[in-house]
Amino acid sequence: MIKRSSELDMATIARQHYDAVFRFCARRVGIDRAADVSQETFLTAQKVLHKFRGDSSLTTWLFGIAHNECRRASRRTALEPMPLSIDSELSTNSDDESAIVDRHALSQALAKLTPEHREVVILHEIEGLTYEEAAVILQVPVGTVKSRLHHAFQQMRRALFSPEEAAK
Amino acid sequence: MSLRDDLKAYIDGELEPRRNDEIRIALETDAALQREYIELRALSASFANVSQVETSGLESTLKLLDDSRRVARVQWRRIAWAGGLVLATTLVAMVVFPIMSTGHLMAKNDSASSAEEKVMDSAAGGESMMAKSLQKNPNSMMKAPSVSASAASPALRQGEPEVNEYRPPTRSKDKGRVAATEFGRKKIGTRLSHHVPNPPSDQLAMLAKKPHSIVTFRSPKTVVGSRETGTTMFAQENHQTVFLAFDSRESGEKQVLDLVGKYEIKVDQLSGAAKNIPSDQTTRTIVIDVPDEIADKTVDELRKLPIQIRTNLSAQNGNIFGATTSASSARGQGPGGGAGAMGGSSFGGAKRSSGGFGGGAGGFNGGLNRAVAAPVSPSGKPREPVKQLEPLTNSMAESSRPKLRDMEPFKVQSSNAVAKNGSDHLIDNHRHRGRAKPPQTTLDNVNSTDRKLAPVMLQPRKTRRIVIVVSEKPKLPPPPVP
Repeated sequence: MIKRSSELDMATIARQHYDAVFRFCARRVGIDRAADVSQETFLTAQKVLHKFRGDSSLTTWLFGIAHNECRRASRRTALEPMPLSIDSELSTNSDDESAIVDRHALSQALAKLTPEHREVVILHEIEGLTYEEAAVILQVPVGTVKSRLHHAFQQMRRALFSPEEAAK
Repeated sequence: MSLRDDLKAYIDGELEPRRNDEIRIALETDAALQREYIELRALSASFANVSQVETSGLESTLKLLDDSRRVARVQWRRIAWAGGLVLATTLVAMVVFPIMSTGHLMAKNDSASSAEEKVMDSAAGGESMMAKSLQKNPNSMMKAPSVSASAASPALRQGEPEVNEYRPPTRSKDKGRVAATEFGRKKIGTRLSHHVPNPPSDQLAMLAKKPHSIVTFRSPKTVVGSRETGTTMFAQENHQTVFLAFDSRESGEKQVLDLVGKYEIKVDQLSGAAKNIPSDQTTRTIVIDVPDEIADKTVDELRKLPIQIRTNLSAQNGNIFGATTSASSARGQGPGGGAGAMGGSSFGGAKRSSGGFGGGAGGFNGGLNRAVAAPVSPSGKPREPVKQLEPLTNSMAESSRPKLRDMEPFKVQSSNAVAKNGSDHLIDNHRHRGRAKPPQTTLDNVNSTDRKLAPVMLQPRKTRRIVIVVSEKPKLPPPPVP
């Protein structure tokens, strides 16, 4: 159950959601700046905590703030997103469907995506947010999230499974 | 929209049931679609193996949050303190300033009354504070033409007496009479009504408890008090009224007139009916006009000013006191006097229409018209009078003269008389058309005889009028012995 803003303690929130926010920021601005941007995210959240009405989950609300902080940091300095690293132990499992996906190719395919497509993929596939939550964070309609995901996956599928088609 | 577009949403379970069924059916029949479905599932599943990032900076973030919260609390406290301080200051100012202003006004009134009482104490002793002040600095009297001109002296504030104030009730008909009159530096926005009530008995009782007290009358609509002199007075159009109380009316009257005459201030009226100020046997009114022209001049300087000579003013001088007698007589309160027949009308003719002064007025006018104009030229030669008048009879002159002689040298002139008869009786030394203009007549070059016989008046164009009401202290029965 979502608590009211008056009942929330920012320190507690930070302990619960810092890792998620940090990862979100690391994949957007890089791991070197992730700590700073995460810190700014929670400081900003503390200032505007009274505005949190509980319409969305606390994670979504924090990711929205982190998203704005990452964009602000990216405007200040040209930051490269963190390259995607796939756990080798899991990826080597032959029974898993992911085994057929090359880790390096996946990272390259993800890096080739546009920022808008990439952040949608990160929010949905890595952070596990729904379309609606991603739409709230990115402040775009749900249909846009759906469309961006479709195009991002089509692009990555062609790059990974049909290199000839992708080369065309 | 094709089925391929929704294939990713079908994998994520974000489609509606109907659309979801459509894609499920299509997948069973379409092999290409099924292959694409498998690839997308594999691609989506590959993200589950993304390694988690090592997080850092949680402690520093928590510390920073704590510091930030502390700073915010301090800021809010400061804002609260500042707001509270401003609020408290405002409240204190709202409470204290009215008290201070009231206290200041009270202190001012006290000092004013004290000064007036001092003046009266001195007057009763034969030497007034006004006299002292004028001896030291004649300008002070001229600048602040009131009995209490020296009231601003700090020395007078010692032993301040109790101030008895009487505030007559407001009259609705006075509301429309608003005229901006300025006395000295004090601007008075409302003039006094023509009616000045007598002090009530309780005020008189308070007055009787101590000698030479001063009862200060206050009009409810008149701003009283002069910042410069500290004098509490009435503002009656162009008048200032000072109320003085003596042990006896005669002695007070004499003292005031003596003081006024000593310093050659023009006396306009001595009449109980002056300006409708009520008069009875225990109250007399002395009206003096101080020209603004001489307001800044010393007595010596005044002597060098051009003057006009009025003939037969000795008789008019007598009329000053004749007026007093007449006023009392006309009201049936005082002894009847033939000389008083011209009394009240002598200088206050404009206000003579009230009550029994009509007879006196007629008598006076007759006397005045019969007076022989004997103008004196600057060279000493008698001039031709503007209008030949009969001289006053000796009895009339003598009946009104004695008190005047006590007060000489006196400059006596009625502004009303000037307004009404001045063109007939005054010889303007500038009216010499076609002839060489004679030298100006001044107080210095008038021979002593003429000066004595013909009191001199300066030709005021604008005067400042002061009404001095001399009253007798009421005699109250002795308090009952317990």
